[in-house]
Parts: sequence; structure tokens; C-alpha cells
Amino acid sequence: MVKVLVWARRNLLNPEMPLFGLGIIAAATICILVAIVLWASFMKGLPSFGAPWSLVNYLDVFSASMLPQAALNTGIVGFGTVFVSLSLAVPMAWLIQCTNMPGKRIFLTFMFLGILLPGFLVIIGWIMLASPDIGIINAALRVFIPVERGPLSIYNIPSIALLQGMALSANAFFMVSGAFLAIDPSHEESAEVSGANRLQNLRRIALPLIMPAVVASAIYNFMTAVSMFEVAALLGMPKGIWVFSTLIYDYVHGEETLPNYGISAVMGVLIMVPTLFSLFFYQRMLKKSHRFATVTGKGYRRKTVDLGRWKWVGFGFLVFVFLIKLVLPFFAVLWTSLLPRVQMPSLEALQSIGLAGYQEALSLLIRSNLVSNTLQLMLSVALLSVFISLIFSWIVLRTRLPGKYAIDTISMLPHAVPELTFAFSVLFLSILLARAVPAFYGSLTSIILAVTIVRIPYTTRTITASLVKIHPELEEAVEISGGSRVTSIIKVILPLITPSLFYCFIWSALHSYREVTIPLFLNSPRNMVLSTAIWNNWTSGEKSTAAAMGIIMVFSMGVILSILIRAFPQFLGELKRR
Amino acid sequence: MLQVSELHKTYDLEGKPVRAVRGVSFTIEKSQVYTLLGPSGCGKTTILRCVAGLEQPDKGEIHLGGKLLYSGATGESVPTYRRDVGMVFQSYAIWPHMTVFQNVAFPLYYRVKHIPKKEVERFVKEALSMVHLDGLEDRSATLLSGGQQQRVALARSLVYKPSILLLDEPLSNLDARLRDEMRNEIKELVNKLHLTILFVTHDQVEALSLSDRIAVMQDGVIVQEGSPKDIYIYPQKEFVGTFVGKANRLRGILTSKHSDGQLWTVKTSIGQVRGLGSEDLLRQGDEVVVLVRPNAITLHVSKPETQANVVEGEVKSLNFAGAMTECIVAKGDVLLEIQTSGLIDLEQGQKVYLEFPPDLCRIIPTSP
Repeated sequence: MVKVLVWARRNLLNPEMPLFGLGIIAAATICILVAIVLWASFMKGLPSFGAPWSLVNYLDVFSASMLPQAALNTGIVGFGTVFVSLSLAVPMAWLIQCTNMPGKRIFLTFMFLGILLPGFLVIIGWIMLASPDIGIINAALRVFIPVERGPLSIYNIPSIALLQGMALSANAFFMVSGAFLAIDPSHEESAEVSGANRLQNLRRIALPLIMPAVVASAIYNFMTAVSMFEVAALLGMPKGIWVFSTLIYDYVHGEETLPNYGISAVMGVLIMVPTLFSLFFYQRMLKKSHRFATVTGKGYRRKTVDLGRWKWVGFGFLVFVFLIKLVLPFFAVLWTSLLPRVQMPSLEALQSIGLAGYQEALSLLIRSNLVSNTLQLMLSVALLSVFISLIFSWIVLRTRLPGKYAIDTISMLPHAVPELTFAFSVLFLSILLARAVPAFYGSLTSIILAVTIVRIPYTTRTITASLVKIHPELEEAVEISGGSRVTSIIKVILPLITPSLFYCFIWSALHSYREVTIPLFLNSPRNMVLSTAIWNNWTSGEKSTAAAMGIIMVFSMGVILSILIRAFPQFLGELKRR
Repeated sequence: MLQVSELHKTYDLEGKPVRAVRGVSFTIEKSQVYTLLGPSGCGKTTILRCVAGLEQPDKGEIHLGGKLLYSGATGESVPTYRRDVGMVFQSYAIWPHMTVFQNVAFPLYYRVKHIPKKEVERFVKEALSMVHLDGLEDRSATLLSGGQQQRVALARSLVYKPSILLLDEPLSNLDARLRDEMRNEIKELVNKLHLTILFVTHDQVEALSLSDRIAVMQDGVIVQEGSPKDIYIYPQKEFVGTFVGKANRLRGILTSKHSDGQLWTVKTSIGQVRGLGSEDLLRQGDEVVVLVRPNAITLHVSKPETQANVVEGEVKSLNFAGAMTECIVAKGDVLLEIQTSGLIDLEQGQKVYLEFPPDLCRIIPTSP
């Protein structure tokens, strides 16, 4: 009895106890949400606590006629995406990081600016460019080629892979860039001394050294690609081309049938199993690529490869990439936003240019709580993800909490579980809890919960990386000086890792603003945010309004971001370091 | 002042238990400098961190000034921030985002609490002048040299006058000259302020020159405790003798006890050697080792008059180091290291006579 009391006094009255508690609650939430998908896949009928377990959903899915086709489509989209993203990212990373190609800084800035243009706006832009009926490029081509529709079409599997690949090339670019930058120049110099020319050097030294990073980003992009929703939804669903992610959505939100949560859950499991499996290889590759990375002393400068006249070819390649990745789709959206109805660029069209779309968009923004919802979403996700990640990193690196390594693994789990499945399980949970907590269903909170969890792996990794660099004795010195461990967090850890926390905060906020999959999955009239409003307007045919809202969204975010960078210049430094 | 009794601590290192501290007990009196000396991994830092409360021991008890800090039996443990200790870390742990003043004032706000600003300023000023850093209050901590950081760390741990100061290898990050300087300064502070100190180091010179008492540690236990002179001149274990300074080791068999008191005779490969040994540890016929410090051996160029404990040998190599000459003398297969005055002229190959003063030859049973 006395022992219990002493234990309680020692552990429960500890000032760090609330932090442990919060960390454990957050980790448990992640686990529960993953478990819900599994549970739902064995549950027949509507979500309820009393439903019997059965394999009926699995039987239904495996006997469904469209499954083989959907599986094949998903596979093709997955590999196609990886192929496109790498064939863009690897040359881009090499050109920008290792050569004397002109305009490297501007291209790098563009790479970061890409975050301002949400993925679904790029797709909308490309529909405006290459749709067989209303595509601007098609209209131009038809001047030379006498066809009724087309000749290009965007509603097909290769286009889905192409657009997903372009979207995910940024991830791969940053990972591969990191590997290029980490190569110790002496490796290349010694090869040069040994008589290797530039091309041999690239092939025999640089490529093998960046290979683990390339493979890791390939696995990562594959995991993302097979569960990515927005491209397949805009380009596949209208023409009945299905992949797993769109089927998951359709079985829950489809307009023709009643929702079938069980079948959606089985599809979720079908994506989750291979991605969880790939996470294992991904982390192995990541370790391998870190092993190759050399920690070099200060003050070394990478030698840049002189491309000679070829540098203009590289320059052209990058201009082309950014043209199709950002510039063309952006201008297509801008063009759409200025016209009352869809028109080809012409003198006549120029005369009908007007701001009607913007008027409609603004009145929507003013009448609804779109702006406040979006801001709430951004701020809450940014605050929560940074706070939870900080607790996770601190527990893993600085405490002896039993089971802290489980927390380490759990913090990486959302990385492997498709975000769509988190959206699904939050939706499922909100229906399960509909009686107990009716306000949760269709609430902004449910979106915040799912988006926060999806952000946690990245923020945790970033914060862990900066916390590792702080000598633990700095915190122990606080305790010796009479402060508690909580004091040491507030007085020492927070001030020392502020730049990295700030970076994570902004990054999470930006990601939650451009996120459309989760808000769409959990969409209700109450929790509409900018991204879902644009999506809904677009799919219901209000193209000009949707485009105008998109442009407003991009510009307001650009303004906010540039003000932040002005106000906190250290953010730019942190951004460059990543 | 500080009592540590039967302290045990086992670590888990990648799934394997490591018994870092295995039943250590010692007492530090007020105004005493007590040193834990040992090679890295012997458990000395773990003990210090247990006293600070930064580690939780598995078993044992720790009292400070009569107050219980930790008891394995009841599980009671006072958190670090309520223990009346000061500590200088190996890395100094100067907070880089604060000024010198803020670093030193920190414990005043958190340990002493509710203290008027004027007083804080006075205490910080006092502490900084103790470590000769007057006027550096507003300097950013990142702009300090290694030696200055060390001083700030000292000032920060002295400013609230804790009842014991814990020093964790405080000099190991400094270069040789600074180390000597700081050692003398710490010694001065100790004499002036009558500090009670628990000092952890692997450097025998630091230990011998700063301590009142030394505990030599090996593999988680204290192998010998005593005054610096005791430890150096009368090691009780071979390990102590060789770790604390250089020593020649002569292995042999204990043949007889000499008639005059504590002297014993040992038959070694270089002949009969007489030396001091403890009655309780030695039996006739035991395998023993005779430890002789290189500077305890007297070197004669010509045959000395005394016959006992004199060995004839040949100079193998010489290392002139100014104040002294280190020379290796061979007697048969055995090489002996001798430190002698740098003023003697010696030549390689020269025949010399080594005299082992019996009271400086230490007979120790061979460790099993």
C-alpha cells in the first residue's frame, strides 16, 4: 500500500506526467484509427458497436467484376507515377544541385512555390488545357488537324499517371537533391584523379551513391500514388475509370447506391497492406542512404559540373517542366476564372473577359464561413501537429518512458497508411459516435483530426532531427539549477529549436490549406473549406466560380507566405536547409 | 555531508543488461574534495548522476546533509530540482541563447525563488568575480571561449551556494595549458570557500592534486579508497598501482617474512626483492607482484655500498625530458622504467645499479 502511494507520488505528481499522458493519447488515437479500418472491413452493414464479424465484405470485393480491372488500373497508375516522377526529379536535382545550368536559384524558388498551387488546381488547369471538348491546346491543334474532338484526351490512365507523377516529382526532387548534396566531393575528386571523365564520374560514382535515395523516393511515391485520390477522381471517375482510392470514395459517397462502409474498408485494407509492407523497405533504404551521406566539415564547396553548351538544354528542360507543372495550368485556371463560360482564347473571348466569376466567388466567401473554417483548419492543424510531434520527439529522445520505441514507430505509421484510410476511419468513427457525440459527425474537428495525423510523421521527423542536435546536458543543467523538466522544455528546448518549429508550423498550415482528399471525404455543409468549395463548384459545373476561388486562394496564400518570410527571415534559412 | 550506501545501477544497452554500479558505498565529509577515479565505463559518472538525481539507481540509499535523497527500499526519490546540489557538466552546458548574466542568474530564479532583482545582480556579480569573469555579464554565451564557458559553468553552480558541488570531468575538454590553469583555480576556490565536492575524473594528475580523498573504481566497484598519498604510494591492488601513475611490476613468489616488522622477501626473475606488504593479505608461498614507481628507484652509476635490493642492469634507452630523464634498464629479459634527474649523464649500453628502497616497494597478491 505504502509502495503504491510512493509510486503514485513519484510518478503521477511528476510535472512531466501531463506530457506523457498527451503523448500516449495521441499515439493511441493513431492506432485506434488504423484498427478501425481493419475492424470495419469485417463488419457487415452500417457502422455500429454491436455488428457481427464476418468475411462477407471480403467475399463481396473479391467476387466483384470490376475488381481485377481496378487492381490493374491502380498498379499501372502506381508504377506510371513513379516512373514519371523520377524521370523528372532525378535530372532536375542533378541540374540544379550539381551543374552550372543558368537560373538554378530561380528554379529552386519555383520548386518551393509549387506548394502554393494545390494539386487539384493543377488538374483543373490541365482539364482546361487538354480536355477533348473544351481543352485550349486541343482547340489550337484542331486548326491543323481536322478532327471533331480531341486529338488529345486527358480522361485516361496514362494522363492520371502523368499528372500524379508531376505532382509527386517535388518529393522525389528534394530527397534526391539531399543525396546529391551529401556526396563528399572528395569521392568524385578521387575518381577524377583516377582518370574518370565527367560522364564516367556521374555513372560510376554519383549515381551509385544517390541510388538508395532514388529507390527510397520511388517506394515513397509508389505508396502515395496507389492511394492518391484527387487526380483519379477528376480524370477517372467521370469516365468510369476506377482505381482503389476512387472506389473507396464511391462506396461511401457514391450518388447511385447506398453507402457500403464494409467494402470501402476492404479496399482500404487492400491498399494498406502493401504500403505497410513497403514502409519496411523504405526505412531500410533511408538508412542506407544516410549511411552514404558523409558528415563533412565546414567550409567545403561542391564543385559544379561544367555543362558547356549543353547547359541550355538543361535550362530548356527545366523551363518545360515548370511550364507543364505550374505555369500552363495556372494560366488556364486564371483564363477560366475571367470568363463567364468556357471559351477558347480569341478576340471575341477577350471582349467577354470580366470579373463575374470573382464576384460570385467573393459573395460565396462572404456569405459562408469558408474563410474562417479554412483559417481554423490551418491554424489548428499547424499547432496540433507541431505540439504532438514535439511531445513525441521529446519522449523518444529524452525520457525513459517504457514503450517509447512504440511511440517512435507509431509516429511514422501515418506515413505508411494512406491518408484516405485515415479519412475513412475518422468518418466511420464519427458515425459510430453519432449518438454519443452528435456534433463530431460532419464537423471541422473531424477534418482537423485526420489532417493533423497525416502531418505528424513529417513534423516529428523534422523536430526530432533538430532536437537530436541539442546536448541533453543543457536540459540537465536546468534541473540542477532548480527547474523541472517542463521548465527545461520551455526555457531551453523551445528557444533553441524555434526555427524548426516555425518551419513545421508553416509547412503544416500550407499543407492543410491545399489538402482536398480528407476534407472532401468528411465533407458536410458545416465544415466546408476553400479546397472543398472549389471542388464542389467545379464538379457541379460552376467552372468560372471555382477557378476564381482557386486564384483567390493562391494569391492570398502567396501574400501571407511572403509577409511571414519578411517578418521571420529565419524561416527562409530553415527552408533552404531542408 | 553526503552518504552513498550500497548503490546499484544496471543499464539496458541494446537489450543487454550492463551492471554499471555494483554496490558502492562512501561518505564525503563537509569541506572535503572526494574524487571518483577510474577508466571510462567504470561507473563513476553514473554514481555522480545518481547523486544529482539525473539517473535512478536500482538499489541503495543516498543521503545529503542528513536528508534522504533516494532510497531503493521505499522507492523514494527527491527530484533533481529539489536536491541541494550544484553541478558542472563535462560539456559545460552553457545555454547558448542566454547571456552570461542570464546563465548565472537562472538558478537564483528557480532554486532560490522570490529574490529581489538587486540581490540577483549582487550574487551574480560575486559569482562571476570568483571565477575572474568580472564585467562579462552581457556577453552572449556563444561568444565565450572554452575556458570562459567553464568559468561560467562554475559560477552558475556556485551562485546559489549548494551544499555539495558535483564536477563531471570538468577539465577534460580543455587544452593542456588551460587545464593546469583551471585546476589551480579550482583548488584556490576550494581552499577559499571550503567547498564540498564530488569530483569525477579519469585523470590521475587531477585526482591526486585536487582531492582530499580518492576512490579508485573498476567495473562498478570501488577497489581502493584513501588519501592521494595512500593511493599513490600504497596501492592495494595491481590495478590501482598501474592506473594511478606508472609502476614497474615484478612478479614472483613470497618466500619469507623479514625479521624487522613488515618487510617481506619475494623471489622474482631479477632476484630477491624486499618490500612492504600487509599481513592480512599475504601468505608465504603466494604468487605476488611487487610494484615500484619509476621515480622511487635510485639509479647508481657505480656499485653502491648497500647490497640489499640492488640490481645490476644495462641502459637500453634514454628519453631526456629536461627536468628528468626517463630510462629503460634491462636486467635479463626484464625491462625496468626509471625516472631519474635530468642532470645525470647516461649512455646507452652503460652498466648501472638500481636500488629499490624496500619501503617504496609494494607487495600485492596477484589478482585472481
